[in-house]
Amino acid sequence: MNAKQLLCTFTVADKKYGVPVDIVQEVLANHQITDIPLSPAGIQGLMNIRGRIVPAIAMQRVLRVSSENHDDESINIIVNHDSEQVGLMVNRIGDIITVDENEIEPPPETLKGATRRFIHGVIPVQGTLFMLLDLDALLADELCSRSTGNAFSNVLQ
Amino acid sequence: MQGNNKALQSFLIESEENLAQLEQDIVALEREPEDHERIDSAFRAVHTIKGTCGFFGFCHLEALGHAIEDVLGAMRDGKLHMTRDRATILLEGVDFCRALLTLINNDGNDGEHTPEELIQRLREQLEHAEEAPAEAEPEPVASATAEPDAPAPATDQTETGADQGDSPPEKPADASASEQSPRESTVRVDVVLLDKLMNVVGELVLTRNQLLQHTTNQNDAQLVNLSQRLNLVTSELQEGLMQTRMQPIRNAWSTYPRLLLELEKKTGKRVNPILKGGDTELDRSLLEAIRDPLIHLVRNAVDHGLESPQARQAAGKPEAGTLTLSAYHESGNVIVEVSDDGAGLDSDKILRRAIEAGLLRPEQAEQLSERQRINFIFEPGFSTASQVSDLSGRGVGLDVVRTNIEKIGGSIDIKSKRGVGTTIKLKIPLTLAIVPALIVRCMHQRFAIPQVNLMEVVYLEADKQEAEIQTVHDALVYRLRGRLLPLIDMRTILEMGERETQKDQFILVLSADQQEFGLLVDDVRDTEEIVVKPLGKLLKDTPCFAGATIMGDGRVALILDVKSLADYAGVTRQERRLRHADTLPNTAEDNTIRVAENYLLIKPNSGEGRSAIALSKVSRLEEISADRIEYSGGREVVQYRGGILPLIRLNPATDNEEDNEVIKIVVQPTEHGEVGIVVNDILDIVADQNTQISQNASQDGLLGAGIVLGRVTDFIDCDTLVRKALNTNPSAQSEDGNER
Repeated sequence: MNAKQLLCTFTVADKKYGVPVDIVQEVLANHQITDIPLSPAGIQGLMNIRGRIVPAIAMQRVLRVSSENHDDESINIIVNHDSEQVGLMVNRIGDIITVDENEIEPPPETLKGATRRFIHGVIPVQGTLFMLLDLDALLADELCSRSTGNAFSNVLQ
Repeated sequence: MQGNNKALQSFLIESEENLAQLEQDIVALEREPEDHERIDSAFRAVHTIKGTCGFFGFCHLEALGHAIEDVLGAMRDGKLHMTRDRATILLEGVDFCRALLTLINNDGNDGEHTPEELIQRLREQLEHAEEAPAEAEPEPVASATAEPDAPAPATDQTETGADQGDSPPEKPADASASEQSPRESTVRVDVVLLDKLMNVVGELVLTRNQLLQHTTNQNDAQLVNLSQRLNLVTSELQEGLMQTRMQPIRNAWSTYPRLLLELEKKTGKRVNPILKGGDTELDRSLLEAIRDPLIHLVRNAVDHGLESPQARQAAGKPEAGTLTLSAYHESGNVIVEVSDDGAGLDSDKILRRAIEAGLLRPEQAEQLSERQRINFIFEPGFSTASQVSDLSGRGVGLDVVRTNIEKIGGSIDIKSKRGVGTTIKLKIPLTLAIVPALIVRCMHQRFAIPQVNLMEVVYLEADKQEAEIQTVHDALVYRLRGRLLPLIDMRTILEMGERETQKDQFILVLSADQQEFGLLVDDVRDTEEIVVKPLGKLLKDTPCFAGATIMGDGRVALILDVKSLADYAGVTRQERRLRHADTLPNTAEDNTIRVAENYLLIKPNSGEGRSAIALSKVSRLEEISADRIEYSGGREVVQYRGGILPLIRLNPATDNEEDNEVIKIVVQPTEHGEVGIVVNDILDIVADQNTQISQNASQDGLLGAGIVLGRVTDFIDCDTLVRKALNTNPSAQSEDGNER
């Protein structure tokens, strides 16, 4: 018996990605974002989602890709992760697709670089490849959570 | 089944509380055996436990409760007197009850064995009762189970509920709940629910703020009316809900009498506790947070603070030491003080240990004030290893206490007088959830700064900036009423941009960790009550911010963590010496020559020598280009702020630095107006408490020489220097004799 999974798909720099639909709370467009000084580079800022403070992840930056179409990352997909909410800033939102678990293939060997770390697997749907995002890996990335980086110290020294 | 579980949970909670009550009562009785209300209260407490046990069938706990009840019953009837030994046995019984409750909580039953030995000992106490003058009651056991004259009607209820055994499970729980506070009508509310409500009200407050902002732009009278009402109602709701989360600090103190009793036993010291202001309320989460630190402080005070009875007598103090715990409100904070009338702290000993622990170098020690020395006990790594005892020194140092207090936005301060006692003062915010804050602007963004940290706001005009903000070693300083305030530029520190020098700015004087510093911001808005929201896991390690809040327009603003900002900017470590001297009152105003001073360390000339100028004699530091030097009456002068500033060379004989493009000037006020002393370089600012100045310098214009930071330094006598320079022809200066 194959479990069906619903994926919410979206586009970042012309590539298509998907996250399980059950973790998606809502999708917002052009939401107001406040910068956070000294924050990790992958975090665009903070949003007010009905009174909750939610960080917005600049997906292009974290996935280390750039868009040829110069699309704005104006769509925010609010996902629940680890009992907190996180906004993924993407270029475009796609359809909800249904996939069989056994349709998910491991990421191809040819997929290199930073992206590979963040991908669970790929799903070919009618000639288009959808990459299934691994949110745990994505949010643990150095661009998303501050580690020992940032050598800036002691302006008064 | 579910209902039964609920009842069991209620029973466990109730019993815990009853045991706590019982414990308090026993301890109080030990001090004051004739307090009948206490006896009644203790009796009621144990009676309730015992009664409900019967209903659940916890026979061991019931038997033990029974035995305790008998003893207390005998006391109530005046047949037995409370003594220290009896109190000890009773407390042992209380402990055993607790253990059984834990067992019940884990396994659902109260174990295999009745604590026969303990019960036996309790019974033995009753035998003494028989010897008491009053006629011994033939069967104290019977009198306890069917108490005809139970003190509170609630007790009867409980008992009936328990004895009938077939009553609905809720009943005993309800009955005992009402027993807990028979005078008030209270309900038990899950803390999680309260927290959730608090969040929702936080939301409501924000929405209200947004709505209010919106309606001010509307021309609709009814809307304005309605929003005003909403405003009021929301405020009331917020206040009310805050109150539900408030708990009297007494709750945190309830275990102290017992704790002190044990401490007395272990140390052989006598303690006379005084608890003041137990009704002072604070948020329950904060109360939880200070519980352990407070216990630690109390332990410390008894173990290290108070002397032994012999030593006290020798010192002419009463044998029993006094430990005072007091709590009160002070400007939006709750202050909790733990003070003892013991021997006080030995600052020399502390200093020695601090040096041993490598916290400071011996040569630094001399510069420290008494207060600074004492504060070393809060430093991490300051181990009290040599005096570890069973009581304190259990690995939790005072630094942990400080960390924990600071974590909740509080601060800790210690005062001690040798031979008189020690007072530790905790300053704790009332609540964590909603705080008053000042909203400031930096570039395009708004930030909230908790009002607690804000001392004052200074307006700084753009054209005065250059004059009023100086640079010492690349660090910005601002001269605030005669003292130098380290400055942090918000734009630079947050990497938002370059320092603004063209527009008017504001300096916020902030304090964290008993240290003040200035923060340069672009604009100051309003003060607002803000709801603190956490930043979440991803951003928890981002420095400088305590959280975020949502402003009236729905946008997010970050809340500055002043302490963390200071650490990040390095003002805490870097300027520590400077800071302590700065906080001494009137250092700068005090013009009499005193040795405890702040000094500006300078290089008088291109040589290796060092000189120090008292900071109180310095009004500004300037850099001017050498070609601006003009001459007037054979003396070097510069045009300065629309006036003429005479220049004084420290060492005319060797000073040949006309080739330097920029000269550095220390501007000094004198009775003849300002003069500038030309120096080669400005090195540092040091706070010097007690450097010995030896009068061996041959040159006049010098106070003498001393050792500062491990180097010989000339101390410049500015008054003489200036008087001499202004009264004499520069050419004759080198031959001029002593004027003093």
